[in-house]
Amino acid sequence: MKETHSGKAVSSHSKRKNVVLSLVFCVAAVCVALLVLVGPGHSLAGAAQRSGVDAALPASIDTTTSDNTAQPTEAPTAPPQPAAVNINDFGGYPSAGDALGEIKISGTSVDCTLYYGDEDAQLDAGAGIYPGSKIPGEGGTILVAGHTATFFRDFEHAQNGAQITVTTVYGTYVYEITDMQVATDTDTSAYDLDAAEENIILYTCYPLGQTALTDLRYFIYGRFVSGPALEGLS
Amino acid sequence: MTRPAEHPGAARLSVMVQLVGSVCAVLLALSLALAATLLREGHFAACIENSGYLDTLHTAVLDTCGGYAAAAGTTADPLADIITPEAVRAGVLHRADGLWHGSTVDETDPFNDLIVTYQDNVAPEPAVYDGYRILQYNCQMEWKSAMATPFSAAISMVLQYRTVVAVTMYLSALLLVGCIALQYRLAARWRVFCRGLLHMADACLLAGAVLAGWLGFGSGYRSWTAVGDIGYTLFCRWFGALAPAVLGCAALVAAIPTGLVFWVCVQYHRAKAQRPSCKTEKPVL
Repeated sequence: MKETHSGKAVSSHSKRKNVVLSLVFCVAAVCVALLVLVGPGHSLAGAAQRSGVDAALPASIDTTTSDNTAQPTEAPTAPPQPAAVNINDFGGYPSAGDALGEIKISGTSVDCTLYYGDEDAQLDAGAGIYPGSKIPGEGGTILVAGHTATFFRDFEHAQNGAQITVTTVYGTYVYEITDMQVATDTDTSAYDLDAAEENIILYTCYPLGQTALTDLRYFIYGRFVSGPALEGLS
Repeated sequence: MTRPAEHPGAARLSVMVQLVGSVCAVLLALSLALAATLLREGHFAACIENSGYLDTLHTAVLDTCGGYAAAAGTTADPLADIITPEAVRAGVLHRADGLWHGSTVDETDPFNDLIVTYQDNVAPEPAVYDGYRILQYNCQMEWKSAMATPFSAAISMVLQYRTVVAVTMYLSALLLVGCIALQYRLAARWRVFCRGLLHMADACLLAGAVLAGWLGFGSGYRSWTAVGDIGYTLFCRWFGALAPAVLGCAALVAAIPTGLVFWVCVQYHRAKAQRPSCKTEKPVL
C-alpha cells in the first residue's frame, strides 16, 4: 500500500516537473524571440507611419476654372507664401534632433520626416540635415542624409527636373533636381557647403538598397525654386 | 531495443540541451514564418490584389489625368483606354518588384504613345499648340508617383533582414537537430529521451501560440498606419498574416520531435510484440 502511494506521489511529481519544465522552456524561448523582434519591430512601426501612400496618390487639381481655349498648364506649384519669415516666430533655430518638417521627391516614394541632425536617432526615423550645413530658407547648401535601406530607397526613380518639396512649419520649399552622381564618401568635391545660393543636396549609401557598409554615396542635387527667406538668424 | 548509453551528470546537461533545443525550435518557426510572409514577394502581391488598393488607385489616376486633359483643353476619353486596371496592376507590381530584386528600367509607362493617340483619334495639334506634350508630361509624372509602392520604407526595412533570417533559419535547424542528437546521447532511457523531445515540442508550440497572440493583438500593428489611408487595409493584410504563420510554423516544427517520439513508440511496440512472452521479463522503456 505504502509503495502504491509513494509510486503515485512520484508519478504526480514527475508530471508536475514535466509541465514546469515545458513552461520554463516556453518562457525562455518567448523571451529570446521578443528580444530579437522588439528592435526591428520599433523600426518597422516608425517606417510604416511613413507609408508613402500620400506620394502614391496623385495630387488633385482644380479644373473648375479651366478654360478649354486657354493655354495648357504645367503641374501645380506651391501655394503663395510670404517673401520672408522670422524664424523666432516659430520657436527659433532648430536643435539637434528636432523634427523640421517633411521631405518628398516627386515621381518617387521618398516621403519622410526631415530632422535637424544626422545621428542614428534621426536617420532611423527619417532623413537628417547635417548640422554643419543650412536649413531651408537660410540660403546656402542644405545637406540631407538618409538610409538607402529605408527612407531613401527610391532614389533610383528620381529624375532631373523632378521636384524636391520640403514642408516646414515656417514655409514650403521647392527645389528642382538638376544632377545626380555617385562619389566616394571622402570626396569633398561632391558637395559645396560654402555655396552662396540656396541649394539642396540629398545623399545616401550606394548601391541603393544595400545594407552592408560601403564607401560610395549617391548624391542628388537640387536648385532652389521657391520658398520664403528666413530672418532673425543670429 | 537497445538503451542509450548512460553518462554521469547527464541529467542537468540534458535539461540545458532541451532548453537550447526549444529556443532553436522557436527561432526556426519564426524564421520560416517571416520567409513565408513578410519577406515573400508573392505574399505582398497577393495582398495588393485582394485589398482593393489597385481599384482605388486606378480610379484616382484616371480622375487626375482626366483633370489634366480638361486643363489642357481636350477630352479625357482616350485616357480610359490607356489607364487600364491591367496597366495599373503591372505598374504597381513592377515597382514593388524593384524593392525585392533591385530596380530595372520602367517599361510600364502607358503614356509613351499618348501624343500620337490624341492626334489620330481626337484632333491634330495646331502648330503652336503644346497641349498634348504637356498632358503627356503631367500624366507621366503622376503615373510615376502613383505607382510608388505603398509603405515602401517599411518593406525596405524588413527586406534588409533577409540575409539574417536565412542564416537564422539554417543555423537554428542545424542546432535543433544537434540538440535532438545530443538528447539521445545523454538520455539514460528511451523514456527520458522521449520526454525531452516532448518538452521541446510543447515549448515550441506554446511559445508559438504566445508569439502569435502578441503579434496579432499585442503589437498594435493596426495603429501603425492611419485608418483613412488607402494603404491601411493592405498593410493590415500584409503584416497580419505573420501571426497565423508563426503559429502554423511552430506547429510544424513541434511536429518534428513529436514525430520522433511517435516513431520510438511504434518501434517499442513492435519490439514488444516480437519478444517471447515471459512473466519475469518486462520490456524496459
